[in-house]
Amino acid sequence: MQNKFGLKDFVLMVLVAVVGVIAFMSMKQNDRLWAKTQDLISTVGTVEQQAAKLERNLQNTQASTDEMLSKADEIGAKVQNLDDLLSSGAFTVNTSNNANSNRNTGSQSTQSENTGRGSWARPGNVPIEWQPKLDFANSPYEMEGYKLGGEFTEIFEAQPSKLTPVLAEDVYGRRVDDQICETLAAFDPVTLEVSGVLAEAWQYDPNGYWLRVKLRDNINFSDGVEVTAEDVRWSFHDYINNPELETESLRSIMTSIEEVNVISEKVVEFIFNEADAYNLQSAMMFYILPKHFYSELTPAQINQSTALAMGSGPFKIANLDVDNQWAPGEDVVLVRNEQYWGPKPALASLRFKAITEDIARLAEFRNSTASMIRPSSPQFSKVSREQGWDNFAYSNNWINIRSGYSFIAWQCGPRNGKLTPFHDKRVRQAMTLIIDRQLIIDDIYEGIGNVAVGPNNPPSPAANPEIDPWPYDPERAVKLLEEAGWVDRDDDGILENERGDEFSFEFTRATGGQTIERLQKYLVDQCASVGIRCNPRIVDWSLYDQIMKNRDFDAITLGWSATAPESDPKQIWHSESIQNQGHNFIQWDAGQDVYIDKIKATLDYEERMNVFHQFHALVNEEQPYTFIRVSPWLRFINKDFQNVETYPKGLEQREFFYAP
Amino acid sequence: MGVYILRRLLLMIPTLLGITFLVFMLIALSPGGIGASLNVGSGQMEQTSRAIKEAYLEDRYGLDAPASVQYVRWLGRISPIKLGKRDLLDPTGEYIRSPKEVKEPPLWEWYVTDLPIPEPTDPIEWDYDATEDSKSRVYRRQSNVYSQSRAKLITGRAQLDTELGKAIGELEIKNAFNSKGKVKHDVVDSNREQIESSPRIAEINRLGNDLIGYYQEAINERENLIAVFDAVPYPQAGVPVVPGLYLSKPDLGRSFSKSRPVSELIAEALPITILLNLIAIPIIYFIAIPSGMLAAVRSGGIFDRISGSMYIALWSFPIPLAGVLMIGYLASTNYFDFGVFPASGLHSAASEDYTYLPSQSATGWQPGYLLDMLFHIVLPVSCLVYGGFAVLSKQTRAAMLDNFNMDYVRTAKAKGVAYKDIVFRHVFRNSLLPLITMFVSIFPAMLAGSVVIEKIFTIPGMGQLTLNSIYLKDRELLLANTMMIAAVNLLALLLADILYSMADPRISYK
Repeated sequence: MQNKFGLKDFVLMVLVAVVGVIAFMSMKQNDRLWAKTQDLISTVGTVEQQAAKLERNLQNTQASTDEMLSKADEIGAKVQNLDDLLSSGAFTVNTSNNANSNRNTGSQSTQSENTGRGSWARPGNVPIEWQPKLDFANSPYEMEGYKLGGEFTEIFEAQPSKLTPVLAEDVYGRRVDDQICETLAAFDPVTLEVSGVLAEAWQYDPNGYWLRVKLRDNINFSDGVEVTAEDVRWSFHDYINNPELETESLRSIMTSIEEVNVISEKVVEFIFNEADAYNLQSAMMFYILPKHFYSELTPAQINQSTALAMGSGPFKIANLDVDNQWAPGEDVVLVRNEQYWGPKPALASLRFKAITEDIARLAEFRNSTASMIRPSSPQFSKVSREQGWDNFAYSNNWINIRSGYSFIAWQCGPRNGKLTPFHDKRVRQAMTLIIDRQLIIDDIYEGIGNVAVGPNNPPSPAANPEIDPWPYDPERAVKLLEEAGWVDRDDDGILENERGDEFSFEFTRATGGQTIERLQKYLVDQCASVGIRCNPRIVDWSLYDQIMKNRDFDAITLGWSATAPESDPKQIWHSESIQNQGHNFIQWDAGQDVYIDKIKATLDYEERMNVFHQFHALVNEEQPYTFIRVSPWLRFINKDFQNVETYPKGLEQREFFYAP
Repeated sequence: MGVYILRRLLLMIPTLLGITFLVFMLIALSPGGIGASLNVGSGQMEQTSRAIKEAYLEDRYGLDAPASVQYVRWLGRISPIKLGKRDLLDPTGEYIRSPKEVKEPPLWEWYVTDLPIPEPTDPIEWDYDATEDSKSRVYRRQSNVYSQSRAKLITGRAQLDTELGKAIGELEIKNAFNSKGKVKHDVVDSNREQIESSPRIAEINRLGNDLIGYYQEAINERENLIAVFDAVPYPQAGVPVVPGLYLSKPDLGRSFSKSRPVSELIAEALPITILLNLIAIPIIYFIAIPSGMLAAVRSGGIFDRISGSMYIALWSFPIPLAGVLMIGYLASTNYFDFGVFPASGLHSAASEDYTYLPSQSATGWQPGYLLDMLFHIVLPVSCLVYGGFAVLSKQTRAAMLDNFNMDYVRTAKAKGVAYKDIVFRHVFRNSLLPLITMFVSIFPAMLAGSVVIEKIFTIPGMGQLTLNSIYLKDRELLLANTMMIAAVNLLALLLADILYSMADPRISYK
């Protein structure tokens, strides 16, 4: 065989080279187009900004013209009055008359207010609750070194599967949607009171059967179209309550709203089918979505969409093209809504990126490619003590309304027809007494978190401030167990009751995590020290639902999360939830229903909190759960971002600004 | 040969069915069953709300049917041969099936002697000038009306079941719940007297009576919708063969944990996994084979010993630990200043504005989209690669050594062929056989993705998708993945057999 370089080889090589060159040139050409497109996009952005500015100016002029006109009217009316007075010849007015006319003008002025601002209200004496103008709690524009622009990258632990509002059910999707969509009202970040966002004012039936809401003027969606009462009605009736859409999670809990009626362009009325203390929240806190955008889409398009999210919020998704949506796996990028009607955020964009590995999250944070991460408790305590860390990052650790609590639940009723030892409240109290919760927090959770005291924990106003957590006192526990009939009768180190049954129980926990394993070991040890046998049972998380439904456990550990300052205790605690596999899975019934029913029916805030405190006292005495820990929010935030405040409500990204 | 291949291909169909059936039943019979993950989130919901939500989900995904029925339904969807009415295809590419059946309301015998029957409606005929748009509007309107009435029926049933459940609990009737915690209506029916003594009977009767009304409404609206459906408001899908039988594209269905079409999810994940493997596999081959050859030529020498022990050491190092160490040391500036590799993902945030190739722009040099991506996959690819050297290089070395001792090599040496030619032309060529077949077996692995690496580096590939589908017991996604992996495995086996016969004339399939 010879290796001869022939003509054939030459032609082949030339061909390969030509293909290579063509490929390279086409890439170059593509890149040129790309650069042009980028330029175009940025130009469009500036134009959009300017348009928004112009529009705002126009609106301001309009508003001042309106004001001037109304002032002119007022003056005209006064002149008219004067004229009338003059023509009636009432020069000599006595004091009583004067008072009278004063009262008259007084009533006139309220009337004019009624026609001008309150004509939408229902007749009657139901007070109108006017809401202040929407503003920052801490405005970035008043801070030193404030700058516009910058991107804030928040790291998620898992990828949200979709972002389309209401259809996005996971916590991450909702966090993104909270920046895009707005509700009629929201909890104030500082005071936690319900305060108006899209709503300018409302009137709430003292008996709790209706709610009339006046929308603000000059509110618009991110495409500039005004938000009207019809959008509110449509969002409720034709989006959330459209059975063709996969919105059932929200649909199935919003059953107390009978209907939403459009009264006028800016006024809606909610009719409730029962008076419930939580009606106001459920009516005010669903996303108001643009009818003109979503009604163009078929239900299948909405159901299968990943990111058709449009709203009136401070940020928006730049690309709302149905055929070219965001794909889970890419970062979620939200840009500032230049047409936002409220106080505009200082950041130019928000980026949400999913990183599943906690070491990788920390690495990206150290490299400043991530602006905020949620460290684990050990990470938090170790890293935040590093030298120089405080110059680099904020280490925030605070309890807010979304902090849940973890607990061990004791089976107070029968399991498979047999009562467990925990049906006796003294036994439950003893169990709490032998578990040193502060030690658990110090050793297992690195000292991060507070001992939980009950179903509501501070700073929630529903927590009873007079209740302290149960102490760690094994001696008292032994005495209580003795009272309940559990003593070591045959000297084998294990307690027996009168019938000679040994005190042993099964402790159910989910797989995964060192933390929970250590908790289990601690519990087993503590039980052994007083003569109780605790047998761990480790199950997969997906089984929990079934175990709880069938009440197939002696003791089980899990946590409840929270989303609001006070949550309706009915689902978890009411004795009615014992039946039909409700979530009172511990089958606890100790007269709590009185309080729970009263809480739901009490519309007055102070009074309701009072009942909440009584309920809390009962739970504390009965110890159906041993409350372990309120888990605070842990966040590392890069110090390149300023105006980072921790609120009782959480964090407000819209207030941050980037000033490296 | 052709006949052999055809026979193998036909044999593949029952094998595939067997594999998917087995996997599906394993998941379905495991505690919790299909769709258990859908209910995990309903922790703090009120009972009725939860029941309604579950009822909606069961209705939409057919979760209340027995597992075997669910499997058969899935088969019907993926089969290219379809029976019954032809599906319609709406302009967005979505299949529209003939309207779902309405289930009988439970305990209807308590309230009426005969179940209501649907009132027949007149068939719809389009006006001469009916446009596509107006036809689809009619369909959409009627479809919505039917969904509304069906939703009422579903909520009504959930409410009745909740109320019945409470009554059962209070009366302590035994065995009235099935393993999924649903009320067994036949048990309720046989305990009718006891239920009627319950204080809840008034509410139960009210709900039960309402349900009959809802049922009537739902079946009527269904009839109306069928009339619209039969009038073909959209173009029909597939190719008809004989009446009642037609060919159509297989439909992989929708994942209920992500509520998106499975085909879309796979189309997103598969290219990423294939990209990683297409880069990793050549690297493994280009390093392992030459070093295996070298080790064989100088068998027992220093290189043989060092490379051999090094590859074995690498092979035995666990991948998760390696990944975490790489991130800790190479992706964080904490330990080394050069530790600047990205720790996750496939692109950096800025790359969205990059051009494809590196370029010099006004803001300075930018690496471009391509380089950025290559930079991002350095760590994951090295994780994929390092364990693969051992097997391949040892295989090459062993095969080469075998051939070195063959008679023809001795003959070649004796007749004075150059040593280089002996190694490359004679020995290496003959040692390639096992390597070719090994390459074939890599394809299935490519499809399955490397679960661990994708998890550590947050790469949204097939590994993550498959793992999630198992974890969440997502019927459609799981079955589609299983089927794909199984099919590629079987095809790879077939390909290996064919390659064998091509490479080695002694093997033939007659």
